Amino acid sequence: MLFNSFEYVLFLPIVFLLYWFVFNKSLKLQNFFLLTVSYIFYGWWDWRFLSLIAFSSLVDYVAALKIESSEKRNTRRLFLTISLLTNLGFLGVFKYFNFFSQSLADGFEQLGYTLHPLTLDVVLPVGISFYTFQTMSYSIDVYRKKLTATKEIIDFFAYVSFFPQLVAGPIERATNLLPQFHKKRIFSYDQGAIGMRQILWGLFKKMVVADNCAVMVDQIFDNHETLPGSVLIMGSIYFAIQIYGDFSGYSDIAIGTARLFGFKLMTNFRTPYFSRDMAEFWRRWHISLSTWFRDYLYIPLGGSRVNTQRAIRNTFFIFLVSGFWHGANWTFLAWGALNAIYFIPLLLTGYNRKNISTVAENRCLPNIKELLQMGITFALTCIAWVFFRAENISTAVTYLKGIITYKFIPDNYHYFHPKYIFILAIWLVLEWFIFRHDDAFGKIDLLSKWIRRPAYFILICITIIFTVNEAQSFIYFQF
Amino acid sequence: MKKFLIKISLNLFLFAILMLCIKQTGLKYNNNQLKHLIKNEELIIMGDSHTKCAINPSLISNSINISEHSEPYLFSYYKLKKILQYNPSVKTVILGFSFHNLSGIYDISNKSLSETTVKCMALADYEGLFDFSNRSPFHFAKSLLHTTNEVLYTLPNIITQKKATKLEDLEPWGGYYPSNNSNLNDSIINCAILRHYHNNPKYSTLQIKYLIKIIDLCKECKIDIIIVNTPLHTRYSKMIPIDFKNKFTDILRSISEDIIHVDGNGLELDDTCFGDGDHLNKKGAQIFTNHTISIMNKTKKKCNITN
Repeated sequence: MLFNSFEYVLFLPIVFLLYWFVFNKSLKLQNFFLLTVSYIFYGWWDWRFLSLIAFSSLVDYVAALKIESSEKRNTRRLFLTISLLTNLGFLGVFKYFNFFSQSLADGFEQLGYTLHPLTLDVVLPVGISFYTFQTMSYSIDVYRKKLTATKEIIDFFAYVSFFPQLVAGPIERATNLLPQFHKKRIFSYDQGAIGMRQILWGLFKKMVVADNCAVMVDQIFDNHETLPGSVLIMGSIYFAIQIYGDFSGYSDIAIGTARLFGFKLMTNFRTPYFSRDMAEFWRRWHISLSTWFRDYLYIPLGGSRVNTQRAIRNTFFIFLVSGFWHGANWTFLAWGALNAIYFIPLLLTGYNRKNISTVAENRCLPNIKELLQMGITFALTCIAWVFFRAENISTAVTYLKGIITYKFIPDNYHYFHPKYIFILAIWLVLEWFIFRHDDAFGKIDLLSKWIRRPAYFILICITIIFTVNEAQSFIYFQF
Repeated sequence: MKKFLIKISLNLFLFAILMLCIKQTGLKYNNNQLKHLIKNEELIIMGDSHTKCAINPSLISNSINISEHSEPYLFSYYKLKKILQYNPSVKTVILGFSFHNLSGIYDISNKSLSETTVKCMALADYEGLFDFSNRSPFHFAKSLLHTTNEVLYTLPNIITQKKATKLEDLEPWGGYYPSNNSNLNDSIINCAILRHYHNNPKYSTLQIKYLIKIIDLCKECKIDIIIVNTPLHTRYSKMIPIDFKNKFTDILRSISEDIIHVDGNGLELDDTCFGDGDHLNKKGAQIFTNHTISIMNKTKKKCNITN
């Protein structure tokens, strides 16, 4: 079920009312209800894949209990390995098997041997990378004794499959989300109002900003060989905004929905395109994944507190794994590598933690220096996004070459249509003046209701007017 | 919780009222524009992109082409009803009917709404919308939402009271499209064949139902109806599944009592007359329009030719 579908418009209020008015008698009943509706939500795509989530949840539930109950290091390690192998095994089979098989065959072909790769005819289960990472973090945290293994099987299954964030994150840590399933939830008007605002803003970013940019992006990337440089630049900007609108829109709807049910999910995006350098960008983009890699991979490898050579190796490794997490394609690896190249100079010079606070924090507009820094950072991310969007490396290289090789000025301004410029302008203004600030959804309350109410209506009208007719899927579902 | 639910309900209610007001104002605006634009045309050309590209109304006096891309018969029916409301002098209707008009794609269109279909929705009454939604309340509500979307599009025109100068400017009324294309690319033809004839369901029940409703409406209003099957390129027509051709012939036989049928596929047209495999270009339209006129004249449905 898509958040931007009509089905969800019916699903959400029904579940909301049943949750607070029928199943509120006991916590267990409420959690069981959440588990049921989460499975319905996921099964709406393909019910067969429910068995994967159920199996993954069961393995991690048992493994965590075994890890906790044993004092022997080897036993603890054995059950952690079982948990990790199960989750990574699912990813390997469904996501990476065909890629490795094909790459191996291609490699042998380069050496003059012809191999017929064995490929599996399987569909990638929606959101598999998200929930496997979520359950793995639970097993690791129990192994590290940061968390007590839960005995409540329903609570744990509901935590793994919690429908707002099941298919595209935020990748919640058990330390944050699981305890919320053990406590009685109380509805608060303020949290409900903030949740609704966040859902509305998320829908706007997805249905208006991302889906409209997608129309332009598809046209430009499909015909990039014949288009002038200025259009190709615009294409990469459209894609940068599309992927941000799409993914952060989903996160906002997920966080907003969770608030309606009394849960608090972690922030996943903090206006990343207003970053002044790439290190700041990575602290603001897909925070739940970045921090996952930081805590479970980067720090165990030694992080940056090692010699220069190892620090460079660790950084490269993390960015490559992050790229590979997105998909089994060389383009994602190239995207990761490029980001590592952007990041390493900052790490080596100690500038990676220079810009911690929000840009122009107590000012209305940025100064020239900040504007320039943001422009350069955005340009660098746009170049990397070309690799992310292209079908293969050579297409990405041709695209980037096209920016400087072909003529620059377009024959017509189809790709600069006022409709798209208008949409981007609204998004940019709101993002800068309102959502750049911490707790922006709560601070809206400070405005008079005579400003707030018409603003909501206008935003809803704009969303209806500019929405692309057919509900578009979210990009991050494929990861 | 109580406060939250009351506020949400109140806001939803206010929003629904606002939408209804916009929809009613939009429809009123469209009707006023239509009244002002419809003259006393005696011949109406209707259909989808095939007739849109194939019949040039400037060659036939006192005629108008209101065909629109991908238009289902359901909306042709509502367009005709609306026109007859303002123009009682219509004597003849030319309606495009070809093999692809039976395609099952028209029955699944509510799942993948094309831009044209959404524009057409603003015109249909609730029964039509319900029909279009496969009589499913769920899809019906979805259609209504899309209709509101379409009406909202006209809001700037309503506010500025912008007047359309010709019917083509007023969505979704369509018009003749003089195409300059000449692209008989195999991939385009294959794509069209796939889109038209390989769907599930295979045939559209909605299309057949509304084709008959159009014919009945014409009979009721004593209007002559002429069915035209616009010319198709041989490379396209050879790829049409035989069962589609048989079904087409059966339906044509069942409806064509007292109805003139103009089959463009009898015309020998060279490649330069086609925009693509199933559409004529400007040159082809000139020839086919004259062919249609000559058949009408032979069958005593006299019409004047504009030079």
